[in-house]
Amino acid sequence: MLNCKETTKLISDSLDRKLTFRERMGLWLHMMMCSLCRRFRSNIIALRRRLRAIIDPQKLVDANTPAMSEAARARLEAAIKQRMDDSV
Amino acid sequence: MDILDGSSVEKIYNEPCQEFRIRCRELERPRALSGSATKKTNEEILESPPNKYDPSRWVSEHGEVLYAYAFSRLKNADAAEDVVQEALLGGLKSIGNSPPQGDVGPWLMGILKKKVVDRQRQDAKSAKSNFEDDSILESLFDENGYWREAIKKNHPLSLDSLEQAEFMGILERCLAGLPATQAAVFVGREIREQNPVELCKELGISSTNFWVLMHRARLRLAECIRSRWAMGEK
Repeated sequence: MLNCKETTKLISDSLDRKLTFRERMGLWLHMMMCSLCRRFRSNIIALRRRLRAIIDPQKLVDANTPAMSEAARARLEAAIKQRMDDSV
Repeated sequence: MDILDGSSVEKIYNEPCQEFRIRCRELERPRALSGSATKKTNEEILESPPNKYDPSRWVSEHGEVLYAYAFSRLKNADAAEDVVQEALLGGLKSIGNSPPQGDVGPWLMGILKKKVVDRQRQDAKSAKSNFEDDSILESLFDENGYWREAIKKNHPLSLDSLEQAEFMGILERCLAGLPATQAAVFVGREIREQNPVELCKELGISSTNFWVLMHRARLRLAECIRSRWAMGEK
């Protein structure tokens, strides 16, 4: 009998590969009794569906890109300067 | 190979030179970059006015774009800064041997892309070595692998019930919180819709590892979306 950890793994796998007959049976048996695993399944399927429906998904990934911090910029400038000085 | 970084240049110059040492004397010059002739080579490059390659302006002119790309792939400010630095220094090192054919920007971006892939592979490798050590599994499942009592008591959320704007806002934040390798795999597969086989090749992971990472990314995202939604965050 599969536990929930194994079941969620198979649920996730089923979105990316074909499950074996045995795996499908185990999954089905567990899901009959476990509402949380059923919910996990419907949520990750919904997640995929909603992601695929986004017209410009790249935006979603880029939206969180913070500007480079001043400190990072200064460190980069310094690294370049040092390397240039080293070689002169 | 489209981009010649320092090491590949060295290889190209070194190989024929070992056999034809004398005839190749001219070719050998760039090899000396790390040695005493460096001074001359780099001075020449840096002093030839007007210097369109002027590396002291790279950060101000290209830094932002490079950083944005690195961050979008690596999802981590420190890692992004690291690879941008590697790319800039790599560029500095190889500019004498293989100067850009066109503009410096795309040339630096080409170097950066390689550095990013290297970093992702490295991350994937180290993630592999401690695959069992992932806090998300422990926080969701008890020692027998069943959902923890606390998780069962959480207010359930149906993802379908979220409004689009709310969903997008929450999802953005949750994606940003994924560990680097999980993010690389999930974003590649579900957002860029890359072919899984290609994606595995790019990241240097097996399909078994790919499925493990997808499982964890999905568990994390589902839990993150639920808890942010429960906190009433928009």
